Amino acid sequence: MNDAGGKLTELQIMAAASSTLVENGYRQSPAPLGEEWTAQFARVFEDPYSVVAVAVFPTWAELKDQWTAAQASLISAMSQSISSADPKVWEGYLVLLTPSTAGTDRAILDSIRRDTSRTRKLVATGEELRRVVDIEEILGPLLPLEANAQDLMIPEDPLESLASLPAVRGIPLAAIERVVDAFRNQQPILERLNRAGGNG
Amino acid sequence: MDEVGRQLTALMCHEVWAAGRVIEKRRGYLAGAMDGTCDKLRRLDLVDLGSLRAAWLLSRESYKRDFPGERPLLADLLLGIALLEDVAGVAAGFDPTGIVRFTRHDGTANDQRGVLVFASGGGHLNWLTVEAELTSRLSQLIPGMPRPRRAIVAAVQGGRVPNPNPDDIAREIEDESIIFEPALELVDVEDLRRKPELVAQVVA
Repeated sequence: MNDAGGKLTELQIMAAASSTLVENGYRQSPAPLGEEWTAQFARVFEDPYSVVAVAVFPTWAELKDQWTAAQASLISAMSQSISSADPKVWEGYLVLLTPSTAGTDRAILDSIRRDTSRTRKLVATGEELRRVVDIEEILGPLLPLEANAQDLMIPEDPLESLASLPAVRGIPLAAIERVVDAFRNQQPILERLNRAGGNG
Repeated sequence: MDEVGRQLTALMCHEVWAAGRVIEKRRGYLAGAMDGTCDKLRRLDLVDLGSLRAAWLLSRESYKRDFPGERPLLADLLLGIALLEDVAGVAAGFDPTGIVRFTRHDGTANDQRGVLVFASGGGHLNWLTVEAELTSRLSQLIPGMPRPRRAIVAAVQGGRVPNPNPDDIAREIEDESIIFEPALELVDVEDLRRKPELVAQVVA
């Protein structure tokens, strides 16, 4: 739903998709997707890992009819500057959007989504695209993962904290260190303790 | 009613045959090569013939009307089928899905290599679009129906183009698998004409 409470327009969808990708590190290609597409409704984006074509169709019928041509244009664009040895050829994404609904064509819609030949397809129709924020959700698989610094911190090595555990209170520190050292080096723990002569 | 349908089918097949004769003359092919192939096409009923037209011309409709301007496109494919029949010594059987099953003349079925799908780019669809169209259509075949591994295409705009993208981004290429279908391989009918030895690889 747009600000006026109506259905999203193709322009609003393309603007939201473009800004979402650019805000997340993608750069828009100055070249259009292909000669047969206008930049208003079909754009190509790239980041260090992937190439993304976004195509917005006024109706589901046009999406259903033209997605194969959009994929052909994306592959042609990729083939001009990316070799088959580049890992990026595995990261080609075709985003197909329309404000209209698929109606009874859900099976066809699902078959396009499942089609992993040449590129991965992200498809959304009027059923999913009700608000501008829905577009970011559709593009989610293409956006960097959000993680806070706390989640990314490597926890303290539990072996380092072994000596401070109540369960080992009273055991000489040197013996604990020998046990940990033997464990880390995959050596027999009891043998190491015995070799130390039982004197800690 | 059935008789009217039969007559209409015969008439449509004749028109395609006539278009094929024009192509034969224009390109200097052996005259009459597709006569037997057209006879077999006539075995389809009116509705199945319309479905076959829709499949071969990559139409969105499940039934496509007969348009005079599209007959040469159909004839081009039939000439390709006639070439396969002639060189490989097999007989074509037509399915409304656009799939053609080739059997040996003794009636025994060929293995899966004898199942091919045909399509025309109509002179305006490029190689990658035709490939995507066919791949998408084959994925919607009824489960259990033999899925062709190769497609014979004609009238594709610009011919074959380099393609760096993997056949399937969800998996590495596996030559033989009981789980995954191999990617569809497209062969231009003109390549078969230039190199008839390719025919053996396609349907042998």
